[in-house]
Amino acid sequence: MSDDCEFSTGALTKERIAQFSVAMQDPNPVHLDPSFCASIGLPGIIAPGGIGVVAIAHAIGLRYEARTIRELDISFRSPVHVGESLRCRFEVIDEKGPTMTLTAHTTGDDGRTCADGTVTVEGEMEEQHEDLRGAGACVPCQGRGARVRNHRRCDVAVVRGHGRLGRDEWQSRSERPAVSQPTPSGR
Amino acid sequence: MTATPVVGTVLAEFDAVLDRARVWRVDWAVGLDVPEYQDPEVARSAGHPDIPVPPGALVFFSFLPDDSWLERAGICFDRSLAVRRQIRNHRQLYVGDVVHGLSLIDTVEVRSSTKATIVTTVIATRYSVDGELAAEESVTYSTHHPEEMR
Repeated sequence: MSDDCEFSTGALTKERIAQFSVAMQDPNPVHLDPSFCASIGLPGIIAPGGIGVVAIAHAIGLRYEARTIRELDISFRSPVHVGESLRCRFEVIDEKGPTMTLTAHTTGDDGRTCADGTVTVEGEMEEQHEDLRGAGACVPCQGRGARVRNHRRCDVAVVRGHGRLGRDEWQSRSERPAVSQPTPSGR
Repeated sequence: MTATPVVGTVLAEFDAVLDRARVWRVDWAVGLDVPEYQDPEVARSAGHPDIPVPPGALVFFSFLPDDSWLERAGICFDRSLAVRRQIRNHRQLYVGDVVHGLSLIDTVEVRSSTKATIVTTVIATRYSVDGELAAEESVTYSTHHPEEMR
C-alpha cells in the first residue's frame, strides 16, 4: 500500500538551526557552538533531531490535513549538518477505518537516512475532485484521477499522488481570481 | 566515575504557556509557511481556537527551569546523544494553552563491555491541560562511558 510523498525543509542554515535551538531552549552546545563540536570531533554544528521530528509532523499535516497525528516514534540515525536539506518521505503501511499508519524517513543531501520511524494519524480526510469554491473542475488533477483536497483557504491544494501545489501554481493552473494572502498579525 | 541515573527520579514538574513565538520559530526553522500555522485569524477561520502547536514542538527540556536535570539524568553532551523521540497526542494543543508537565526518568539500561559502558536513559514527560492528559513524550539518550560505572 504505497502512498509516497515528499517534503523538503530547504537548506538548514546556521540561523535556522539557532532559531530552532533557541525556541526549544536546547541546552546541547552541538547545535550552537562550533568550538565545542570541534572538541568532540564533529566537523561543525549539527541540527537538533527535533527539526526532523517537526519536519515529519508538518509534512504529514500538509499531506493529510484533516487527520490528527496521534503518535510519532522517530529514531535519529545520523547527524544533520549545517546547509543540508532534509527530505521527508512517507509510505502508508496500514489503513484501518480512520486510522492510518505510515513509515517516515528523512534523508540528507547525500541520501543517507537521518531519521526514520512510524507515525499514526487519525481522522476522516476530505477528498474531492472539485474546487471547494465551486470554481469548476479539479484543475490540479486535470482529469488524471488524483484525489484532491483543498487546503481550506483555496490558496494551497494537496493532490494525492501529485504532491503539494503552492498558491501560485494553483492559480496558474486555474483561472480563478487571485486569493489575497492573509497578513500575519500579532507578531 | 559517573553515577547511573535512577529510574523514577523526577526531573521537574512545571507549568508553561505554549507561546506563539515558539511555534513561529519552529515553523520558520523547518521551512513551513502555511498561514494557518502563522496567523491566528487564519487559524480561527479554519476552525481552530488559535494556532495549532505542532507535536514536535513539545520538548521537555524547553520547559525546565534550568539545566540541573542533566546531572540527575546522567546526560553529558560530550558523550550523550538523543537517539529516539516518541510522542503520543491525546488532544490538539494550541497557542495559549497552559500545560502542566511532569518529567521523570522512565527507564535505564546499562550495557557494559571490556572497553566501555553504554547507558540508555529514557526521559518520559506527561503534559496535561486542565487536568486532562494532552500528550506523552519520551526522549531516549544514549551515553557512552569509557570508564567504569558505579
